[in-house]
Amino acid sequence: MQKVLPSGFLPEKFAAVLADLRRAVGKEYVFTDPQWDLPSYNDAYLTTPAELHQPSAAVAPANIEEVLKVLAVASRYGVPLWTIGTGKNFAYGGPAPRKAGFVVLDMKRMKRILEVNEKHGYAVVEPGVSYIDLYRHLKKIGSRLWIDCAAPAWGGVMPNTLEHGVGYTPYGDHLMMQCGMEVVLADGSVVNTGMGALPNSQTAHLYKYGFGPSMDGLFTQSNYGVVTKMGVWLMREPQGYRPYMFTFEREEDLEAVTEALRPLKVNMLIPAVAVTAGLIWDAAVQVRRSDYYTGRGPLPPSARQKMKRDLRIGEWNFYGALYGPEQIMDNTWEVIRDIFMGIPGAKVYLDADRKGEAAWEYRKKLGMGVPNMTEYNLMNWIPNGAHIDFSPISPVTGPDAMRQYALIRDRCDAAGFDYCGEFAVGWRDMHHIFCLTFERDNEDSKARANKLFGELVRAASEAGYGEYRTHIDFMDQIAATYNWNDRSLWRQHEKLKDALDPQGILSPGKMGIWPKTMRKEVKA
Amino acid sequence: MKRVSSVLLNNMLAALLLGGMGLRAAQAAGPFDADIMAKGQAVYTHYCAVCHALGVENPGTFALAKYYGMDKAALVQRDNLTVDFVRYLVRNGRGLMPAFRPAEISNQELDALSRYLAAGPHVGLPAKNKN
Repeated sequence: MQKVLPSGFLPEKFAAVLADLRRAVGKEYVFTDPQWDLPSYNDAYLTTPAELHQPSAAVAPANIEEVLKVLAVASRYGVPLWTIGTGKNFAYGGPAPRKAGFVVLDMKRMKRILEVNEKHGYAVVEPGVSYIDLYRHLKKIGSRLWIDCAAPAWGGVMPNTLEHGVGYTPYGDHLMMQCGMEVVLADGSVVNTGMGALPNSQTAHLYKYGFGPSMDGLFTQSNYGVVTKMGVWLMREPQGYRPYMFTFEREEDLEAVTEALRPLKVNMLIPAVAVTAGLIWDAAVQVRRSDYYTGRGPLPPSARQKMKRDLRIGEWNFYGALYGPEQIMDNTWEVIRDIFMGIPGAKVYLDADRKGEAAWEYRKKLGMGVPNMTEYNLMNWIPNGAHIDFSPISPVTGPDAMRQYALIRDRCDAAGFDYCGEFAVGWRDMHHIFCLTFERDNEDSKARANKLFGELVRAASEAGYGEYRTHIDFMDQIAATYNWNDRSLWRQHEKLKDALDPQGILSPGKMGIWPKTMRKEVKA
Repeated sequence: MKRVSSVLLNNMLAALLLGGMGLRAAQAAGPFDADIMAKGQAVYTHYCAVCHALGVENPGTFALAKYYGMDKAALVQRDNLTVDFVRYLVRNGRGLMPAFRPAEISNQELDALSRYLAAGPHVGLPAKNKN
């Protein structure tokens, strides 16, 4: 990889930027070697050329004082910074910047767990704290609090929340469980949100909304500031935990499963994020495609049947869990079991039935906030697998689930990829996660994946489904689908961007929000 | 630092550490240094084990089983890792493994990790290989 510069910078000017950054954080924490340091700041799972996302440098401050110094340097020279936390937002771009030449502001070295409050059930963390870090820390101090983690254990507690990520316990809606932030703005102001704005506040991490407008959401999926501290509510370990699984035989059962699930979620009989995983998702975390089929194109029915038999899984596989005292779990279980077992062909499994099976064990762990990496096995489905995730939101209804499934499956089949998807149901929404797995070292596979993804964005938006999150390569395309009333929402985003960061130094282009200094260039 | 300069002692310690296996790999890892090995093991445990510990539920192990079989798929089972290979892989990634940034694993930590893994295997080989 060749050295690149921020757009409009001459080598001499950029050398001055680097010299000032080294003074800000120490020379060992400014990374500039395009052969040794910077490949790790690109995205391992790109469908586009790596040159499009090659940073010019990376800078890693150790504390808020150094963050302020870095922002002062960026402001002095007008150099664009691309902020990352743990840098594990894979499938959505990982640590890579939106455009080549940006300097990555790497917050990983800020990894202190500042507080664990056992009594009130929360922790306060810096951006570099991973799920594994927080989990191990809680174990070490003998805490009875659980974390709620995304499926990949190396993800960041704060970064995942800021990206609107979800987990699999009753605290699975991560942003809902966030309480209080410390944010550094482009002009160097430091802001405490919510109750933290009160000096000596007793409730900075207990009440989310504070007094006046609630601003926390503005700093999520955005480029308005750099979040340096965040409170996260943690669930107290319940008296009991019983994970369960139902399998369903037919493709069309997805409709009945989703219809059955909605009232159980709305009435909170199923308190955690509930998942209906497709056949290939559940297979791919434990076997390879080549174990069942070596041809191209969709898996033939015979291979699918054999996979179902061998692995005791269905076309759809529903995972949920009971939490609480035994009597409550017993009562709730009767209701849930009878509803799902009313679907013809349904089978039910509990822990004793599947102990030791990879697909079961990782779901069981996720339901109790035990971080693990098993889901990354999805990429072992094919040789040199990589993935980008297409993730539209839909209502929790059977017809919507089937419509979304068909929308993706048919295009997927035509493009020569396997449909590997799951439906994760939160409070009133359904995240349809399609793990588009392609061959990382195969240019044709990457090009087809890229084309398919663009087609899915178009088809989903035409059907009224928008994405909740996306890869850096598709941020502009998806932002353009949220265009009601002449892009009124994105025009507000741009106004805010121009007010809070007039030079446009913070994460330009994040979620399609470009600063005015770059808007013309991007449109061109 | 507890640097041990004697080659003989080096080999004896390595033999103890490795259960009598893998002297060739241990020598490839450079002079034996207990502190560095401990540091390397700590880095391995913190960053690598979650994907590369024993068992198909760990995606790195599952991926490598294709090339080395399940007997040598976990990193602590490997007897053919070299310092340079580990250093390159960590900074560049391979297959489903993304690279690790210097802000996560510093060059010093990477050096210790590489030497630790190059000194493997760190768990006993299956009985058939021990005979």
